[in-house]
Amino acid sequence: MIIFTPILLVEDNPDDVLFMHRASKRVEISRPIHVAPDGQAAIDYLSNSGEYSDKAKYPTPCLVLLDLKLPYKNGLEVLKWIRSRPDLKTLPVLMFTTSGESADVEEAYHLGANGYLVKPANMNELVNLVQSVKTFWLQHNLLPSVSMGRTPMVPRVERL
Amino acid sequence: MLTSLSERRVPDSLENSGDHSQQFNKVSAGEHLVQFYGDDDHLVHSVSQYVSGGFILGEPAILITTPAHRAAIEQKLESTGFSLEFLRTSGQLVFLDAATTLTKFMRGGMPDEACFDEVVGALVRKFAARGNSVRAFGEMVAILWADGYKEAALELEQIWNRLQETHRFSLFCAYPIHTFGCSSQSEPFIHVCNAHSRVIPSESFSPSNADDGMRAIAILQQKAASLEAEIAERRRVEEELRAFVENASLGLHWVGPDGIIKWANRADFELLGYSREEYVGHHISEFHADQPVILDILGKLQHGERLEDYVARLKCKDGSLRHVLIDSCGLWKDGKFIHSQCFTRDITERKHAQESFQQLVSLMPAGVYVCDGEGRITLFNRRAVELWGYEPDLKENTQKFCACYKVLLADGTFVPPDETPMAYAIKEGKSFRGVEATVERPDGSQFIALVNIDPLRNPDGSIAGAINVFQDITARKAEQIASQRLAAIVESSDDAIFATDLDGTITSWNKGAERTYGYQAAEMVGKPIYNVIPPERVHEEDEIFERIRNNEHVEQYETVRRRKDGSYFDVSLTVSPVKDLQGKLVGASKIARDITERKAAERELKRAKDELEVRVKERTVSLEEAVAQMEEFSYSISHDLRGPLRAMQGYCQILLEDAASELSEDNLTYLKRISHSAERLDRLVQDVLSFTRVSRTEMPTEAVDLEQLFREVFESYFGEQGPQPEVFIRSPLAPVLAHEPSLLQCLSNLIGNALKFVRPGSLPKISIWTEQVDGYVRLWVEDNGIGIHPDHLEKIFGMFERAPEASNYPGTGVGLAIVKKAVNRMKGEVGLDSTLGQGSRFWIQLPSITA
Repeated sequence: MIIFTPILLVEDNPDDVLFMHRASKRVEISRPIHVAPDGQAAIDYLSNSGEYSDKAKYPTPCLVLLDLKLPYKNGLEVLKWIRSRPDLKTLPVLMFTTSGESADVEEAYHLGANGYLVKPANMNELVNLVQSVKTFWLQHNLLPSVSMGRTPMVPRVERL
Repeated sequence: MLTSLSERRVPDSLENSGDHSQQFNKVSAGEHLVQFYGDDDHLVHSVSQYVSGGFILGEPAILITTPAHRAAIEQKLESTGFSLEFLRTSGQLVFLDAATTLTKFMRGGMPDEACFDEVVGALVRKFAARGNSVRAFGEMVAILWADGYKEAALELEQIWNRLQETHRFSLFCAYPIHTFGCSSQSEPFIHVCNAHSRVIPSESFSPSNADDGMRAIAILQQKAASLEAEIAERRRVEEELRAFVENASLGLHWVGPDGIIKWANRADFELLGYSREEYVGHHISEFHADQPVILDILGKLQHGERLEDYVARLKCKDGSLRHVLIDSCGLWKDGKFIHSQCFTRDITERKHAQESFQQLVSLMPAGVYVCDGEGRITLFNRRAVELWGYEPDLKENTQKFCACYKVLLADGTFVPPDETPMAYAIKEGKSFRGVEATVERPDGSQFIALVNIDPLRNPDGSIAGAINVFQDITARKAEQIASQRLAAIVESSDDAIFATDLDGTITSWNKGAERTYGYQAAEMVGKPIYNVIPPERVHEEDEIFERIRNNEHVEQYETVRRRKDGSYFDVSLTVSPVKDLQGKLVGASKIARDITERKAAERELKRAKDELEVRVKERTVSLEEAVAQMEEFSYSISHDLRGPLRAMQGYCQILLEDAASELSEDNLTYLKRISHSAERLDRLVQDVLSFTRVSRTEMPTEAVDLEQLFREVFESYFGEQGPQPEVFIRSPLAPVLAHEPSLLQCLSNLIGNALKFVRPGSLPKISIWTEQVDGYVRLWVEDNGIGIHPDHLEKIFGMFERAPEASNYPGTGVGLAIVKKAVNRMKGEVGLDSTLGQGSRFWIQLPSITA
């Protein structure tokens, strides 16, 4: 059986978590979705520390959906932390937030976000959005090694 | 001259010549007689005796004479009974012209003996050849002597003597005694006597016997002695006269017929700065400045005219000219012009004085004229003509006393000429000073004259006339009035106006100064300015004066001064230098304005302003805090407020999907309404956020390509389903200066409206174009929508404002508010034309990139 690397949803709002799970089910995403309820939890998960120390149970995700407004550490701080880690540097991170503020958008991309998605107002649109993410990121797009549970390869450009 | 004097003094007893004809009877050959004579008659008598004595003895005569003597001798001979005709034809008498004969043997000023022999010797030989002695009379020696050829005369005498040595003839010479009429001729006289064998004295002294001879000699001796004494006396007198003339202050000179100065006294040549040598012996014309003048003088004198007060200009050695008056007449002798006697008077100084006086009168800035005792105008200067406005003709004498065309009194009354002050001056001998009158010229122009008149009196005190000096004081009068007016202005000014001299002493003090400072003029004029300056501000006055000395004006110098009652007040000083007519600084004028009230107002204003600033600062701080809170708030809304709305919507949807079969139709409708309301509230929140975003976002502008922007807008809309609108863009669209993201939102909202507000069933039609409006680009967006009622046009851009016509269409009423806010923040304007039911034309006006 193929073990799919999970999707990490960093979301403090249980409603949004529920809607996300529901939408994922509707578009038939078979990968497990791990939820980190705050920024610190996300960091703990990705560094396998604290309650997430079991690497087998909490493997590196293939994709991170990262809310901006989070308790303890906000989304941008988490993103900054991720990009500061050599082993997570290439991890695809999509911002998933209610804020359409251009300042937030700019900063997120600046810190290395791979995409910026605004949470839709209604359920149907959320389903469409999750369908798009699935189609693009999980089906068409080729993911880096880190997203496949492997030790990230040192890219040629860095070897040079 | 002396000769004639001595002749006149000969006593009558001696004057009798007696009959001495016998003395010529016994003249033998070889004798050489000389006769001195005083007058021609005597000579003629002697010569006639001499030749007639010879004729009796058969001795022929050769007479070499002047034509006058020849005629007289011929007449004499004829009168004594001789026939000239016979004498001549019988070869006993021959006349030769003395002058003509002389020319035949004179060579180089001396007689040539050989030539003489050819001319005279041959004639003597021819006469002597007949056997008898010959009698010869010659005047050639006398002519040579008289003409100054004395040496030649003596030589000719010797030639005659030598001829006598070889020829038989007697010779009779005659000299006018006056030829030897001065002492210097004594020695030549003896020479002449020695050259002759017999000397016959002048007719006065021809004694008839020995006794008479002795007496005559004694008388002559006495006479000689008295003459010598007289001569000495005369010499002394002459010396005196000579010295007198020589040292006379009047210039004297003699000019010969050739124009050469023969003699001049010291005054004459010293007047011109020459020495005697540089003057005497030179031609008189060398010393005249005007050649025609000296030629005229010489011509007149040589024609016997007499010159009196003849005006001439002489040249001095240093090149300067002297004006002189010449009196002169010729000295004539025997009808011959000897020389001119000329008296020269120097009138240069007088001339200069006269010219200066004339210049003075003509240069006087005043008109001057003089009338005689009858009131006739005799003299006037240029200025008078200028003032009168015409030049009176002195010959016509039509207007007496006054040449003015019209004289008027101050009230315009006409004053006849014989009632003018000038008339009274002449008629009554009155003087007038500073009389003012109005004078009208022939051309109608007028001036105010200031007239001074003095009568002129004859030596006997009677009135000879009057002199009138008048000036045009029109301008001065006008200035006077102007300065009186200025003085009145200064005096009545509310400002304190006063003046000080350079020491700070007050020289004038107006009413305003009295009011402002409380001091009366009488108290202040002559007092130092320091009285009104607070002691601690005395240095200011020195500073002000320093600036005044540097020719600066001090303006609006605000300070504090002290009133008489000791109170201080705020004052604004304006100080200017005061200069005299030569431009020399003599003091300062000051204008002081009491600015106490203004100062108080200024202080109040400043206090209020300071207070206001504090308040504004406080408010700004609180506003900034409010804005920060607002931003914080809207950020929260975007995250926190929308979360629950999305949750409501999400759960409604879930219920509709999961429990649709378990719910009644009504319950399903309620659920849909909850979802719909949540959705609508979410849109409202988003729109409000958009509005606040355009309200506070920085909007740097740049050139924006509208066509490109519209493409982006339409791409986002056309991606949607539904009927495709008809869009017409009138290319090219002018570029504008704008903040692109904000403008994109504006255009998106406008196009969104155009697409949204269409009548059901009709297809949206959109036209887009731009036009230039005063440095702006106006972008038009025209739709075929439902249009807006004119009553609502103004409100349409307000926040949450929705036209009633739009009630059937979704929307929050924020879209156009965002457009207006964003465009205004990009320094633009928005507006629209609309007709209800026929669509709307919205416009956005933004700065053109070329503006």
